[in-house]
Amino acid sequence: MSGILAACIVATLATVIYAGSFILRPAGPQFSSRLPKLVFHYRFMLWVWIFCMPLMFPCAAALSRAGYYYLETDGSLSRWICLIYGLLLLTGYFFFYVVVYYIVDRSVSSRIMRAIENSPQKKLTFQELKTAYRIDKKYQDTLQSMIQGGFVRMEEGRYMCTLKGALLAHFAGFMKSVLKLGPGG
Amino acid sequence: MYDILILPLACALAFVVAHVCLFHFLSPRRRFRALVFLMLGTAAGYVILSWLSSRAGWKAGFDLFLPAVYVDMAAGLIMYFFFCFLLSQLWIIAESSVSVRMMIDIRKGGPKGVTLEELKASYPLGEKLADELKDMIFVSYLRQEGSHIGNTDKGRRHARLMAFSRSFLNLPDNR
Repeated sequence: MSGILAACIVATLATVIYAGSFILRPAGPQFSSRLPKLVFHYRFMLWVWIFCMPLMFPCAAALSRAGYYYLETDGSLSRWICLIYGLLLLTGYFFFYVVVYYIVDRSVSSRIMRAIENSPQKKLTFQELKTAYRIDKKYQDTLQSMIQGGFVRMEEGRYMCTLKGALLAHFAGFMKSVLKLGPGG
Repeated sequence: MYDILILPLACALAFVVAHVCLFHFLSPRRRFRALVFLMLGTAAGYVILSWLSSRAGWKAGFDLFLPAVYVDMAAGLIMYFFFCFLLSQLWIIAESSVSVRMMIDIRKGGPKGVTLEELKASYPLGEKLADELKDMIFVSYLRQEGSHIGNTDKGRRHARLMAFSRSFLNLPDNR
């Protein structure tokens, strides 16, 4: 148990350091486009995570000394703790796979590249790409899936957030304001 | 070791194989629901296998390889990097998700909401597409050829891999 607890504590610390470093800045760093912003944030996040990782060992040792290890008398982990550990890890693997699956299913970049590859001349103008991307349909599809998911409702031609949608919008807005990300999207 | 490091990984691999086979051979209509059911089934399978292996005494042999303290720490380290991955994905969702950006704009409209035209004005997807193209040229997936945009070799390979994966999983071509 001490390993997972230490992971939770140190991950919280790493998140606080990462987010805190943006809260303390008067304005967020400026970028010419989205990709340099993503690279900057990911690199910084990873460095904070790697820098904090060694703290897990003294943290786990302290938790063990405090009795949060739940080892059986023969030194093995108790059965219930094993099951919880296993299910947590399985959830992590699922999450990882779902992200990969959604990249294949929904990635805008992949769609652009496929549209170019499927065109007769293997190249398209910006206007042709806009047609291939079907912007109007993209608004409709996204709103439709948000209505189906219960995030948005439509009344007399106007779209409104449901409670679930408003909570998600608040959370995303809060994250954007803490990390000074700008409107994004 | 068996319950924590080996069995979850084996179950996750079985899940991937089952998902690919399900989508390839049966092509479910409600794909997200099928994915969730498959996850729940795999989690149930993990619990049953863990219980069966504990009764049959298989795992005792595995547990001799690595003391419980190391297994505990290894599981903690894997979880630690999953948390990092989770944060990175939350960042992506907050920063680039079309749905989330629309939801924020709809919420700003207050209780009277927004019309589709107002939404299009506050969040022009044409600009998103232009930004996306700029980034893809920056990472050499695309190249500008006068007024046209074409794939580089890297982009072409990526497009073919994605097209193959999508057709193998029977994903519709409208996304």
